[in-house]
Parts: sequence; structure tokens; C-alpha cells
Amino acid sequence: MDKILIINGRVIDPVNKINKDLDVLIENGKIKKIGKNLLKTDGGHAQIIDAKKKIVSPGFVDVHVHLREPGREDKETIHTASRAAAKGGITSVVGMPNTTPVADNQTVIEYVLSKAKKESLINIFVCGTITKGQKGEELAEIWEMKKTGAVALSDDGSDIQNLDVYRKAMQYAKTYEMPIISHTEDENLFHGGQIHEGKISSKLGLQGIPACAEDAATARLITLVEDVDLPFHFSHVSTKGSVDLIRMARKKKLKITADCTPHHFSLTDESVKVFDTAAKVNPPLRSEDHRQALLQGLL
Amino acid sequence: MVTGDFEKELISLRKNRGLRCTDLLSFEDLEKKEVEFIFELAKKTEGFLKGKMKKVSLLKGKTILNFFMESSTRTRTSFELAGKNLGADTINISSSDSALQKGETLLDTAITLDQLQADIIVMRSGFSGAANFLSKNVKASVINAGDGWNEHPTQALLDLYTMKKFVSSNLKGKKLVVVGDVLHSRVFGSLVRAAKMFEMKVIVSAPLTLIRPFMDQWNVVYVSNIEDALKDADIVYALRLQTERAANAYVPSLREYSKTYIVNAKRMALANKNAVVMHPGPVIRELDVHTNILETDVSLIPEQVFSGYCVRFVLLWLLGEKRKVKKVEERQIKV
Repeated sequence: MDKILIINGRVIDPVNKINKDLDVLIENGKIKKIGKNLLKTDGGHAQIIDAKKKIVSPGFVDVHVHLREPGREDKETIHTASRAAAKGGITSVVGMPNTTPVADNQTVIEYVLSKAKKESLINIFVCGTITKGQKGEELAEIWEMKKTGAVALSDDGSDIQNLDVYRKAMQYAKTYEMPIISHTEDENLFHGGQIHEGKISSKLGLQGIPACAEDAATARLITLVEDVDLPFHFSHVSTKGSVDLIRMARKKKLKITADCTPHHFSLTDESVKVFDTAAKVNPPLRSEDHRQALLQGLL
Repeated sequence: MVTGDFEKELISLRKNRGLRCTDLLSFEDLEKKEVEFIFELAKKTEGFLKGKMKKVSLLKGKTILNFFMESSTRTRTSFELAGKNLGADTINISSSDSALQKGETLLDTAITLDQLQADIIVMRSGFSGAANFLSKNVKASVINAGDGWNEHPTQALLDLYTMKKFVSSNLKGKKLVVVGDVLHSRVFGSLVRAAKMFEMKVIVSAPLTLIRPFMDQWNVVYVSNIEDALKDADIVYALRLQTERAANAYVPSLREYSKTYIVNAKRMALANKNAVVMHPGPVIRELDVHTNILETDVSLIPEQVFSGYCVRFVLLWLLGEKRKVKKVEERQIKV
């Protein structure tokens, strides 16, 4: 029998409302027992892991990662991404489809999943694009990608701008019960911006990305979700306006969910000073009022 | 006067004083007393630079690279001339004839220029922060000669010098009205910091499409109507509409822009009696400033160019010895 005993750790499991110093006994890959001082009773023949001063929790799920394979193996591969995730306690990820070529057909989905099977340490799920070539014009073969194993749809990085196309995509995705993940942004308002439009962009002479570029896109997508009625996810929300709009939409019981990245709720555009490109992300790090609203939205 | 004497005079005026900064990337790298110190020396150079024999050996044996990734007439020529007058060897590199064109990164170009033992690199780039990046990767002193929409600190130096010379030696409370494309202007980026240092009142006037957000961080007041803005102005500073940065898309037409924001004689009549007009150049006639102002003594635009020559001469001298004291973070990983 394969036995692992994790001792002395802080067990945090929000779903089961546990937040205590406890030991965890795992047998044949399943949690058998959670309790105090399990070493005496269950320590025999077990591999002991001392988690003193560490957090023991269920594996985290990251619904928005970039595996970059195929195409940009210079940045990341399934091999490196899965190890980075495992190191950080993340046991399941959803890979975004903006690879080269883009995952807009069954072949690319099939390739990523088969490579994941061979090289990944964690559960890898993949997204297909909503439109062919991620161009926002024609629908991709959504039914076939689902059959191949895609779990959701997204034109991440360059969301569909034409609302007629978006509405049809929602209707078609709903037909095959595929949720949509949106990188919410109005491309015209984004307009080649570098960092959040505000005090810092003005000071450094960098073209700003106004908060309204996200707010406007969030607002109009919510109206489409209300019209079509399907599960819809707003990814990496970065503005106060989006938080307010999503809160209102959820009050109306629309099937809307959202996420916010740790850097967007912990950092602000002050981190960009002076020209630190490590703090340049899209959507951009916003100002303190937006950060506060994001924290409020999470809690 | 023989040039040897001028050299001695300049050295004795300097009294071993120097600048704390090793690079000039932002106007904020200078303290007020350092700015005054640069001006004190610049004043001394005026006669010399207008003289017959404009050569000293203060920077003899030094290398100055003018690394210009965007076009320039005034800035590059004045830096190059000043460097030569100081006795340094000056070389011009532009992006079109550098290996950047072949796909080399700015980092690798920086490493290359550093190995050529440059003492000063004067850099202009279309990207905000480029001079900052270069300075972190070279032992040479970097002078920012304009980066994107960010700053152009030597322009602000020469502007202040010109204002002190022709308007008033005490600029405190003087009303500076900036007209035009504030959004894309690195000249504005440095000028507004300089005006804050010397406690000037700054008004900007342009359509809101050409204004930056959060102007209140510099205590700048926005006035939409140019006639209202010009009232009691001491200095009117016109900025060029930067069509190379698609600024023309921010106004309906150049025709309407010139009608609404050109600085002309009729409008200047609303300003203070002795008000002057300045412009960083190049001027687009009949769009930024009307000929009926340009060709009068109200315009200080030609004087600005000469100020730039003097100020840059001094700055090169003061930064010429910094290579040996500048600290750069070691990049190479020991294997």
C-alpha cells in the first residue's frame, strides 16, 4: 500500500472550512484521514513529509495560463510550465489558445493534450479559440474542438470586437455547452497603450491604456450575456468599473464569473517607476483606487 | 584672448564644483543650485563660442558618441560642435546605419558602445525610457537628448537659460503659457519640471485631445481658449503638432488647428507688454507660430538655439570625467 503522511502543516481548505494545524494521511492517492497527531497512529510504513511552517491545501486551479506550445517554445513549454505550476501548488491549469498556430482546430488541441500526457506533471486542460485564426470574424469549429477535449473558448489577447460576431459565437457556444472566457478590452481605446493611463503614464510619457477601454467592453459584453444567457467568464479583471458592472450582473443572476490575478490586486502602476518593464503587463497594473475595488470584489 | 586663457578662466570659475549625477536622463536629476551653476559657466562661454578660435582641450582624448535614433538638427549639431570645441572626438551613429537595423537589441548595442570606451553617449530615441535603459548598461555618462514622449532635459536647460537671460533673472511667479501638443511632447515633460523648480506659473492651452491626464501633479492649469490663456502671459511657449506621432488625428484638420491655436501677433497683443515667444523647433510656420511673430524680436527662437550650444558645451565638460566614477550593475553571470 502506498502511504504518505503530511505532518505539522497548516491545513487550509476553504470548501470544507478548515484552517488549522493538522496532519493529512494519504493512501493510494486518496486522502484517508485529516486529524491531530496522526504520526503515532498512522505513521507506520508511511512516507513522512514534514510541512512545518507550510500550508497544506488542495491543489490550486489556474484557469488562465500560457503554455506557449506550439510556436513559442523560447518563452515556455508544456514541460517547463507544468513544473512551474507544480512548484507553486497548482495542480490543474487551463492553457490559452493564442499559440502559433492558434488552437482554432482539433489538430492543435489534440497536439497540446497528447504532449501534456507525455510531459506534464499536472492536469492540463486547453481552451480553443472562438474564431478562426483568432481574427474575430468567422467562428472556429467549436463542436469538433469540444469533441477533441477543449474545455472552454477564448480569443485571449485580442477579444472579438464585432458584437454581431460575438453574439453569434455566444449562441453557437451555448448550443454545445462551451463556456467563454473573455480578455475584455476595446481595441480602439487600447490603441497601442503601454501602461495604465494615469499619473504615472503622464509622468513617464508613456501612452496610457485608459480604464474605460476595459469598462466599455465589459458593459457591452454583459448585455450580450443577458441576451444569450450562457456561462461567461471575465478573465484578469483590472478596473473598478468592471468590478461594479460584474457585481450588478451577478445580482441579476446572469451566469457570469470573473477572476483577478495576484499582481493586479497586490500591485499598482507605481511599480512601473522608473521604466521597469517587469511591471508591464496586459491588462496593465492600475492605480490604487482600482486595486482597492479589485480586493473588495474578491472578498 | 588666447584659448589657453579661456580654459584657465573657466577652470577657475568652476572651483572644483561638479554635478552629483553621472547621467542626465530627467531634468529632476539636477538640483536647483546645479542648474544655476551650469548657467554661471554657460554665460562665460558665450563670448568664446562667438569668437574666432573656438577650441579648447578640456575634453581632449575623450570620446563622445551621438546616438540618434530619430532625426535632429539643433540638438545633434550643437552637441557635436560643443564636443569638438571641447577637444573631444565625436562620432555620430544613427539607427539607420547601426546594427539595430539588422536586428541587434539595444542591450547588445549598449554593450558594444561601452567596449569602445565612450565617455559620453548622447542618445535620442522614439521610445520613452530608452536613455534610462542605456544608462543602466554602460559606463559612459548618458545624456538624454529626447526619449519618446518623456523628457528632453537639455532643452529645458536651454529654455530656462534663455528665459533668465531675456525675460528676468528671477523667474518666480512668471506666467508661462504652453500652447499646442502637450500630449506627445518630451519638451513639455522636461519644461514642466523646470518650471516647477523655478516656481513659475504654468498654463497649458490646446484641445483636450492633446493634453496629458493628471496635469495637477505639476500644478499646471488648463485653459481651453488660447485668448484667455494668453492674458498676462510673460512667456508663450508654442509646441509643434507632432504629425510623425499621428498628432494630426487628434484634431479635425490642420486648418482648424491653426485657426484655433496658432500663436500670432493679434493674440500676442493680449499677453504682457514685454511677453516673448519661444518654441523648441522645428517650427511649422503658419501652424504653430505665425510669420508675423517669427520675424520680430518678440521671438526668442534663434536665441534658444545659441543657448543650447552654450549649455550643452558646459554639460559635456561637467559629465566628461564621470565614466571612472559611474557605478553599473554587473550583468555577466560568473560561470
